[in-house]
Amino acid sequence: MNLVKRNIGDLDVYYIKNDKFKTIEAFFVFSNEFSEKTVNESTFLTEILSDSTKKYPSTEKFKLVCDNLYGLSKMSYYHFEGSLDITMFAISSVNDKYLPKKHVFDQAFDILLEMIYAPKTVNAKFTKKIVKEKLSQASEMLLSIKQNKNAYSYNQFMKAYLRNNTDHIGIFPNEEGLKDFTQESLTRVHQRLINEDNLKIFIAGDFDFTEMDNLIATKAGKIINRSRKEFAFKPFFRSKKEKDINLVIDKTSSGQTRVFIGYDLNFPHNQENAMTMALFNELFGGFENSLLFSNIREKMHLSYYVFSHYSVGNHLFYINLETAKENADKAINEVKQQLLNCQNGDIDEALFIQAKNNIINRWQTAVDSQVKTMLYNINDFFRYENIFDETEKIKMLENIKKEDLIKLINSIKLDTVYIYTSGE
Amino acid sequence: MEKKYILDDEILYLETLTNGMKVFIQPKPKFIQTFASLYVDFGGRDFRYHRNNIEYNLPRGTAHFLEHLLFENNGDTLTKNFIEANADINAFTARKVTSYYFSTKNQFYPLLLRLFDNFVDFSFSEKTIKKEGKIIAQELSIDDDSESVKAYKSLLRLLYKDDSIYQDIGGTKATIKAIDKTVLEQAIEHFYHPKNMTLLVTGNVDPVQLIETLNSHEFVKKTWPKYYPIERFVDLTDKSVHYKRKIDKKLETNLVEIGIKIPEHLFKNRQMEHFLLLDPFLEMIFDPSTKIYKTLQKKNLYNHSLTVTPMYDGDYSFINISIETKKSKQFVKAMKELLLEIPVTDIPDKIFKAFHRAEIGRTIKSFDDVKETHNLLETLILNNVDITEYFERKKNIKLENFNDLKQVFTKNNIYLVEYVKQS
Repeated sequence: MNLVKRNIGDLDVYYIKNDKFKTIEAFFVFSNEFSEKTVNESTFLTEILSDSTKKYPSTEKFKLVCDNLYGLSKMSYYHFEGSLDITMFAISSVNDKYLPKKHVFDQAFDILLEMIYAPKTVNAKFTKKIVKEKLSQASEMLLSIKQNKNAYSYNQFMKAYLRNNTDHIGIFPNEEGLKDFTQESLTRVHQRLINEDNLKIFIAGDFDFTEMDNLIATKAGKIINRSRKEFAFKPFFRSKKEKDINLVIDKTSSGQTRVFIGYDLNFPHNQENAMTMALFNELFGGFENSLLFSNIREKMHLSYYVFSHYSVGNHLFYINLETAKENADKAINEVKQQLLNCQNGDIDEALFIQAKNNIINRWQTAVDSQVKTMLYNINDFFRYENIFDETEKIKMLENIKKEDLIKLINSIKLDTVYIYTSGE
Repeated sequence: MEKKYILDDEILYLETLTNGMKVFIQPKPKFIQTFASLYVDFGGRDFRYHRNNIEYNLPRGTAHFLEHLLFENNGDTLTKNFIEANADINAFTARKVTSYYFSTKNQFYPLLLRLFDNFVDFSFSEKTIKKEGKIIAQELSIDDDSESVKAYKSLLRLLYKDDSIYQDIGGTKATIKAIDKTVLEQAIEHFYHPKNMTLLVTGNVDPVQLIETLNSHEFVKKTWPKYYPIERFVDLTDKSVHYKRKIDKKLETNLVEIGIKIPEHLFKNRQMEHFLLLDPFLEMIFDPSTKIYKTLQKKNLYNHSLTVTPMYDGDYSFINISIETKKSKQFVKAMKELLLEIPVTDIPDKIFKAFHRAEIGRTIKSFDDVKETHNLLETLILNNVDITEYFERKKNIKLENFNDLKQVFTKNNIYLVEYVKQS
């Protein structure tokens, strides 16, 4: 399934054509520079826009029209990757070829455009009522997060891990930012989205290119502001050489001890390094035969959950495990020891190959899901200005030698240890 | 082999092997992956049962313990071959069933045979039993940790007298200590029989080749001992206490769990009908168009944590409404009033028609992803629902079919648990 670029006026449109699926997916992907001050607005905006429009001004009316389009699914999502704010709006519509009624996708596409460009506003502003509603929900959500030990400890760890990057903490809801969440701020972020963000359109499914070109030109061409400014992706994590490890022990828990161990990667972010690091993450703590899983869970019985995570977009690497309070130190030391062994070159050949194969398998099986294929393409497009070329990627991964990996992980330095435990 | 059409181009094959195991196959030739699940009718509820007119007991958590051990059967690690073939393998134990499942794009048939190697004969070393006991003890600690899980468990205890409904599937640290070789042998003899198992395969497979492959395996060729069906009895009699309130200093916000008990006559011997109606009914009753949603919104009592979940496990059924909110008192009052109005509230015709049309699209979409298809078929199989009849009858649901379900919203059927933050 290859990505094909189309020239429709000034719009950036990409098609992924295939006859495997019975749905057509359309994604509008907006990007801009990341702003930690508008995380609340950007997140709530995706909810508000997918809830009603000017033409369908209540949740009830909007749901009814989508149900009548054979269960049209809408999706909206905001997240940030490195230096970029990314906001996606998408629809998944059953292809007309499989329905008794025709032009369903045409109407579905109208819904997508209305959702983004024609929201329900009064005097060109989002209503006071919606702002009040979202603020009340945010305050409930903050309490729920505090009550959920996993969510709470993750958020606290991120704050500790990103202490030198406070302009880049995009945790939602941002409690501090809620006091500035107003009709005006919400409207401003929406205006920025439709007028200043870079927009790329991705459509996947079984359709005729010319017909789709015409549909987009006729419907979208009239209302979309053609912002051509490109916002380049840059990873953000800045390390500050500190002498001591940032150790945070939070003794307010009443349950299992949760441990997060964050590392400073200390190497330049590029596609090759990112792939090598992803490979290391896989063999270190990415699957059931990984080093952390085999040693900490299966051999030492210290933890039921132990995983490593590598965020390619944000250039972060951390370990997460749950254990009994009395085993926490032992588990942390074992993580450190396992990393040290790898840095010293002690990596089993079979595990190294297995980790490569796991990643290749994940790429190859993505073709069984149209949405996954689309998201792989979108991610690579933003990170590397490249399409998701499976063959090229496999070649690149297979060329990674163990020595390359060992060399890369020798720049990794322990940065933060966060322990959420009981005070007893 | 029986061949049935689910949709115009979606076919389901059914076969019962000579050893008694049922096999469901849904070929998806355009996809590269294949998903297989082997279900054993043995779950967390089976610590007390009848077989051949004799009552038996097992320590709580035996099914789950055995699920862990099966990955180390006969001193061999099951995951090894699967990982080498880049296949994903895992298992879960639910209240009614243990499921062993894998997905792969390579070597499907050899892997399927490897999976069945594990179900011919059984042998576990003391060392393995001890090791898995430690891992399971860790797993059980995780559940103890969550206040919302505790509140939900309290609701189950409030709703039902029968401990097979509310006991933890994995047992407790104390009960799993009682699991030894003798216990495991009893469990295997009574439950791990092909007549008590079902296989579901969805993906890039040829049904004929699949059956031939299975028939070549010792699992099918072996002479199995006589199978005695398992009988279980569930006590669904009503309980007099309908409300539990706990003040908890560990809480940051209040937890509310509401259970609306569905009387037995609505689902006993009517699995298909109950299964067909419960989900859509709840979707329409809690639809944004309904009074419930609008009232909660208006009173500012709606938030992201609100969930409405149909619970149906074949031998009991209830509707679960759950929320985390600082306004629990107002929420409970409003919700109770709204629920008691449901018996006299009509579902608008326009909502029902739109729902019907959405269902056409959703059915097509559910066969557009091999994993989703597999999950859907699994749900139907585990609830003893005839798959082909299900899709046929789904098209013909009428508004009046929901009348009985509307009547369950009475004071007598509503149970409530409130965990309140100590101020």
